[in-house]
Amino acid sequence: MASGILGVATSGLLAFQRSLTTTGHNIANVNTEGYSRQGVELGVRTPQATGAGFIGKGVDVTAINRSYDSFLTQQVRSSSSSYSELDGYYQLASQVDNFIANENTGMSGALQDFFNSVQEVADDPTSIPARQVMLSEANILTDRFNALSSRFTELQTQVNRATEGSVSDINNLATSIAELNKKIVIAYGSSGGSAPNDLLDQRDHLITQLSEKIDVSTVPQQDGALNVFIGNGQTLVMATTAGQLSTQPNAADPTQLDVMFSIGGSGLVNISQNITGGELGGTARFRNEILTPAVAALDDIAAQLANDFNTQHALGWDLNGTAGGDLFTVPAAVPPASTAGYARSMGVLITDPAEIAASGVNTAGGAVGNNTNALALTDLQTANTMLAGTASFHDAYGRIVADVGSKTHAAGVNQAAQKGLLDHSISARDSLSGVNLDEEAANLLKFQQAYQASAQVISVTNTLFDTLIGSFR
Amino acid sequence: MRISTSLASQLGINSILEQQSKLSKTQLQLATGKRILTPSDDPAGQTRLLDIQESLETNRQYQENIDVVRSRLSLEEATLSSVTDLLQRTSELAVQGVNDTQSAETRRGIEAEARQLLGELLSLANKKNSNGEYLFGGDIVNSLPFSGNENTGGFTYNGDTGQRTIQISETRRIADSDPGESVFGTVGGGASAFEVLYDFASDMSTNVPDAAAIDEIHQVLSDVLEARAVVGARLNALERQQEVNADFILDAQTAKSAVEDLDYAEATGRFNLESVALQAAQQAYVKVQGLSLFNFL
Repeated sequence: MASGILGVATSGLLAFQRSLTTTGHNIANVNTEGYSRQGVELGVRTPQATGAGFIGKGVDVTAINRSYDSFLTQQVRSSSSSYSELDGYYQLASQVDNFIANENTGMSGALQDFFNSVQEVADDPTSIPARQVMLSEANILTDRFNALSSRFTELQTQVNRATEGSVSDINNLATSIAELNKKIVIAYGSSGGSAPNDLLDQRDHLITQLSEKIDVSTVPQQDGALNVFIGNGQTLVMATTAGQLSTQPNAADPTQLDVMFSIGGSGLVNISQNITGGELGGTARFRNEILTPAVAALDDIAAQLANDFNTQHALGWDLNGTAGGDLFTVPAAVPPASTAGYARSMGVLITDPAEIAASGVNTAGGAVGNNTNALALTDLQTANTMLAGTASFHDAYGRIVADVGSKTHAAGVNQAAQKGLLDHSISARDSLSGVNLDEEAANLLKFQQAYQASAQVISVTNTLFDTLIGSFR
Repeated sequence: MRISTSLASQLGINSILEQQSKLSKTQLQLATGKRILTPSDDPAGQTRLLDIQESLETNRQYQENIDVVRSRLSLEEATLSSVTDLLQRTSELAVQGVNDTQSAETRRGIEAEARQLLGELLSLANKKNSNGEYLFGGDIVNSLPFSGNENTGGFTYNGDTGQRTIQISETRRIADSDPGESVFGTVGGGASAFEVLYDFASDMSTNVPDAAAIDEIHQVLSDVLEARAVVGARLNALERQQEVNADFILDAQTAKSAVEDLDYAEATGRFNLESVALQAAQQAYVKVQGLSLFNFL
């Protein structure tokens, strides 16, 4: 290494070149997600001892550091995990919220119209048109039950697709993190302990992305690798080995997917109950808290309605002098037994309007003007037959609406609040790690000037040398 | 505090997006005139709305039911009014017929009119309503309630004692008809209006007047008048119930509107405020994005 004035000047040139490169690197990555700005750390070279004292030997680049704080990054992760969970939950809940009380898709209007048509039959038990209207209203009612139920099934499918998508994303991220662990360990070794900043940023960013899918925790290792845990302690990434998530239909309800975990050839472990946070946690919560109860409640209403209606209908006589048959398809069970799937399949069995049993007395003798059974059927509208005798059909449906409405409302409020927290933690992290272009512009000027000054020193050295040569000519 | 350039830009965009979504919601509220767009906007309000809507629709149905009953009872009333006129005339004939001044010939004249009136009474008792149902057959609405003939007698009642009731409020049902036997008396044993009139006509034809006929016809008349009074009372009750229902419907509509309707003054004010906020966010974004030290290098 050149010594003396030339050596000092060259060390400055190299140091500021490195600084300019790093500033350029920062500027280039201003919009790179997960990038932490870097800075060159300079240090004075060990001076040379002489009789007159220590003479400076210039400057060295001692390190290139990234502005990073593991606590701030951890906060971003935990906020973004909570936010993704609430956001996923809220988006799905909003869909139910949108159609559950809609006049054209909800049950309230159809129930009301149906019972009004029964009243019309009670008003005019011999009128075939009134009976015909009642049959069409019954068909509209069952169509509405079918349609609402299939909307729920679509949402169930959507939940399953989202679960599969998240699982596949998590697997990809886990593999990438394991690969980066490998590269980082090698980089630490080959550089003699210098931090491979850009690789570390990449890994941090992947883990942040992972936290959007599921709650994660990390434990750093001595060699620079990072172990990643999900659920209640399942090791998703162990140094350079990545675990694998998969889905399989739930044993009790095959329409729902369970999330399974395995690592390094171990057996499948069901972790469905342990998943919290992230999109995966949000969809699971939506399924457990909103979808499944709403589907069950709808099936219950449909089955109880069909059962009560059929039972009362059988007590009457139709226009042909025969006892009433089943108006609705007969449910396999009534609440509190499981009525799963009834709303989907509910249908109307009677097609001949004369077969509606409006009369409460035997019509074989011609008493077709009697309407007491029709009146008894209209009474079912207000009878408290649902929810252990505390609610009418209408009330029971109202409770689904209220339940979905209040949960969606709460999810919206929580989502907004969590969004605030997330923004705050991102802004706290970025105020340390993010690139500010004005700052980089100022650094650019500063290092450029320093570089020019060092170059000037070399030029002065050259002049000194010329002077020396000139004196011997 | 340092501000990261890309975050500053993202925050600017976020605030624009947020203002836009608020504005869009207010716009939808203004377009529909509704405060509650989905249940989550006001879960309690939405539930109340469903309840109000149900009572509203049910009460509208009761009002329709009342119209049905009223038209039937009005027809019965009109029919019984004709029956009353007819029986009053028969009563006059009976008073004339027992008078000693009558001869066998004049009594045959009275007999002819009495049979004529009996025929009319029979046809009134067998009257159908606009649906083709017999008014006085009880539940047996499709077969002739009273068979028999003014000339040959042989009256029988083919109806039953059924009386149809119609729901006119949540707790109230009202009969829309009266079975023939309760209006015209039990057939057999000479107790029905037809038999009384037939016997009177027979007495006139054989010139054997029976003074008891006057009382019997009076009894028939008073039974019919009693039935009319009951029908009139039901019509009054319908009238009152319809007013009660109408009041309820009005109250429910007011309540519904209070829960559901948008306060336009508040919403338009909010709309303006949000438009201004959106413009401000957009302008601020453009201004801030223009600021860079690089512009001066």
